[in-house]
Formats: sequence, structure tokens, C-alpha cells
Amino acid sequence: MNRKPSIGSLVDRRSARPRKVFRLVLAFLLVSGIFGSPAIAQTTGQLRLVVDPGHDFQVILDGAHRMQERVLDLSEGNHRLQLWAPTRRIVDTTVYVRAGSSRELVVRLPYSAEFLAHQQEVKRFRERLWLNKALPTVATVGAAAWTTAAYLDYRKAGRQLRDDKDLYTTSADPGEIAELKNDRIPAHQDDFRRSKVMLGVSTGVFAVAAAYTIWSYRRADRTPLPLFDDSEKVRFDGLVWLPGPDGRGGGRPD
Amino acid sequence: MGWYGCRAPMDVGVGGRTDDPPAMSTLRHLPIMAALLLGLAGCYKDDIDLAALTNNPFDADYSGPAVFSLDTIYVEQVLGPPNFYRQVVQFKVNASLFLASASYQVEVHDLVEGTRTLVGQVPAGSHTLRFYRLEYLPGQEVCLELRLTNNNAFGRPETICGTWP
Repeated sequence: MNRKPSIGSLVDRRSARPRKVFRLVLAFLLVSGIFGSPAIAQTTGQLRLVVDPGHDFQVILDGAHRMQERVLDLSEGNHRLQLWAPTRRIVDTTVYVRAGSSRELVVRLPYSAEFLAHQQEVKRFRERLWLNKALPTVATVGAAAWTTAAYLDYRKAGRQLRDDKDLYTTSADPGEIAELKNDRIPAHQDDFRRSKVMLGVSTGVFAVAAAYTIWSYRRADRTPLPLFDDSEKVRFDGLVWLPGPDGRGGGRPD
Repeated sequence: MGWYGCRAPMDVGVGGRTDDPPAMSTLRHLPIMAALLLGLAGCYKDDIDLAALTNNPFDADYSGPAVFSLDTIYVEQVLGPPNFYRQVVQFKVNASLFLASASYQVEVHDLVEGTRTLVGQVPAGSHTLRFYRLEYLPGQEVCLELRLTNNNAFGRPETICGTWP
């Protein structure tokens, strides 16, 4: 059935539109009045930093704020993060943070080239130090063993001569005495002289080796370890200004 | 000999100060050990002088006082049968010259007759020995060359002379 609207109903329709707008505005105001605060909190997002090394890294946020936080509340949008830790290289990255979301940034800071070179240098230094101590020590121990052996040989030769002399004294056999004097004693005297020379030489070598070992130990103990100059830290420090304890420049973040 | 009373290097104590690291403590004693070893080297002396070893009477190169001395020469009758006379040369061995007690024989070389005879200690331990000879000429001088002997080897020869009664 096709019914035409009356004039009265037309008038009602014309006045209904402003009322609808009014109702919408009212509803918006109500909603914004009741739930206004949560709507503002959702403009930030959370960024959790998972960094290797995890204990002493530092971060510069947006080229301005230097901090050591592990959890950052950031406004939505791109944020520049410059991460650094001692002995590591600076990692410069940009992260988009979505409002109301939480995300992790996993970063492994690579070792700096200077630190790797320093490690090599320290390794070489330790090897050199070890050699500087070990070689003379081995030489001294060897010389000591040689000297001990030479001494024992010398003592044995000396005792042999003493026995020969005792035998000369106690013997009543002219043949044995002749053999003793013509053969055995000269041979044992040769042995004794040889062992005496050997003992002198080995003792001298031992003394020299021992003196050199002492000197090399002392020299090694006085030689300072190679120092590590962390140039990445200098670079990182230069990325942002920090106030010192007195409020002026030159502050250190540590 | 010089090595009596010397200590071997192993006997030398090598203690150290308690505040030193063990390696340095040992090192601190190395010069001392070296010095001790050098000192020990001086303990032994090459003091056997072969030329000086001439004091044993059994040595052919003996250069001490005379070992033999003529005691007496006499004639004795040996009752047989047959009965006969023989000359006895009795000589003494100076056993005090021996460096140690020893038993021995004496080789007697009769320089007149050219004979060599071994004479033993009779009784054992006696140092008075006798040489017998059957033929003699009264008033004639007799010289004997005597040598201590053991195991078929001989000491320095000495000559004793006397006159037959």
C-alpha cells in the first residue's frame, strides 16, 4: 500500500536529523568522558631490549637520551637506537614502535675489531711471556739434572780413587799393587778428572741458566700487559652530551 | 781424602719465605744451590800422587826404610841319619813397616850360587826367617837378595850380607 506522508510527518522528519547528530555527539562525549584515559595510554608502545651482553650495555635513544634501561616505553613511530657495550661495536638501528603493543628487540653486539686485535695481542703476549719463562726454566731444570748426574759421577769416581788408595794400603800382593799403580789408578784418575771437568762445566751452565731464569722471570713480571683502548666507547661517548656531576659538560655515564 | 764431611746437594734444604710465590722462592735459591755445587766441587781433590805411592813394602817401587835385616849366621847340625851340618842365615822382616798386617813369603836369591828359594814364615806370624845352605866356605862373605812375595809377584829386592863363621 502506497501511503503519502502528511505535512505533519514531514515536519517531524526535518527536525529528526539535528537530534540524531546531537545524540551522536552526546554519545561521543559520554564515551570519551568514561574511557578517556585508556585511549591516551595506547599512544605508547613497549620495547624490551634483549641484548648480548646483557649485563652492561648502554643505549642512546633517538640520538639524545643515553640510558641503561632494558624496557623502554616509546611513543608510536620510528625510534633510532644506538646500542653499545664495553669491548663491543656500536649497533645503530631504527625500530618502529606500535602504540599499545609490546615487542622485543634481540641484538647481539659484535666484538669490536680493536678488541679482537687486543685479544690477539694479549694472546701473543701471554705466549711470549710463557716462552720467556718456560724455556729458561726447562734449561735450568735440565742443567740441574745434568749437574746432579755429573756430581754423582764425580763422587763415584772420587770414591773409586779412595778405594784404590785403600787397596794400596792394605794389599800384600805385589802383583795387585803393580796392576793398581800401572792400570787401575791411572784409569780411575782419568775418569775422575773427566768427571771433575764435567761437573765444573755443568755447574757453570746451571749457574748461568739459573741466573738467566731469574732475570727472565723478573723481566716478565715487570712487563706490563697490553692495554685495551676502547675506541668504540670514545665514539659512543661522543654521540650524546651528558652533564657531569657538577652539571656541566664532560660527564661520564658510568 | 777431601770429600769426607761434605754434604751431597740433595741434603741441602731449600726452604723459602712464606710470602713468596713458590716459583720465585725456588728461583731465589738457585744461586745458592749453584754456589753450593761449586763448593762441593772443591770437596774432592785429585790427591792421589802415583809417584808418592811408595810406602807399601810389598810394592816393587817401595822407597822406605829397609825391610830386611840380617839377624845372625850360624852353623847347625842336623841329626840324621845321615847327620850333616848346614849354614843358617837368620834374618828379620821389619813388619812394623807394613801398612796392614799380612802374611807373606820371602824369595831368597843366593847371589853366590845363583839359586832362588822361597822361605815361609815358620811358625806362621813370625817375622824371623831362616835361609839354609849346605855348602859353605868358612870366612867367606855371603850376600842374599831378599824380596817379599805373594801370589808369585815380588816386592823390592834388598841385599843383606854377612860372613860365614
